[in-house]
Amino acid sequence: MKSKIAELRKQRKISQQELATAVGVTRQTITSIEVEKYTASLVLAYKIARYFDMAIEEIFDFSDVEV
Amino acid sequence: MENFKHVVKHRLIVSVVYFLIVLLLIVLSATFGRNSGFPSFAQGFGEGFGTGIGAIMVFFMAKYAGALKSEDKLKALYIEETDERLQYIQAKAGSRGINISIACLALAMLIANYFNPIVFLTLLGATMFVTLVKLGLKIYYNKTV
Repeated sequence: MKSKIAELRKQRKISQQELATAVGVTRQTITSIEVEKYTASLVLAYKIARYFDMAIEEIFDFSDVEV
Repeated sequence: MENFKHVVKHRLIVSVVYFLIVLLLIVLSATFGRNSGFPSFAQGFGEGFGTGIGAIMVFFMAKYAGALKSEDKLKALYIEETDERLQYIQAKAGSRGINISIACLALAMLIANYFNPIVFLTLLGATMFVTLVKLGLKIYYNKTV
């Protein structure tokens, strides 16, 4: 799933490790989400959204999800 | 984090107890095992296996003691253990690992069937056991999750 995490981190000058520690995951998990190898759970997506003070759908691209 | 600290303390105690039990068994085996009548290979293997388990326990003891001394290490350990991607990898590797083991055991069992009935029956038992464990876990998780 595409996300704006890398873009937001760069804008706010936050390292992957800083974000990872803040949301309680390893740095590798953040890397995997950024390169679309891993899809974050709802709870992690919520934590990331809260960290950036944004809504989940503003960070994660759900356009590929079929309903 | 305070709850996790208690969990780590508990694990440290369990590791120390395991280590002491293994150490005691190795000492007993080395002291009295020579005249027990068991094959020396079995005794040597048992002592080597025990030493390996003891070394693993020492590793865990150092890991848990280190985490209890430093808040940063404790948090890093907590993140390492609760990281969702690592848990996903572990679940996937475990599931695939059991399937691959069952397939390999079944193949070995079929080959052994043509050469040695004892090996065949042993592998049959092992294949059935692993398959039943997998089925049991599937039923359990289907009911609890």
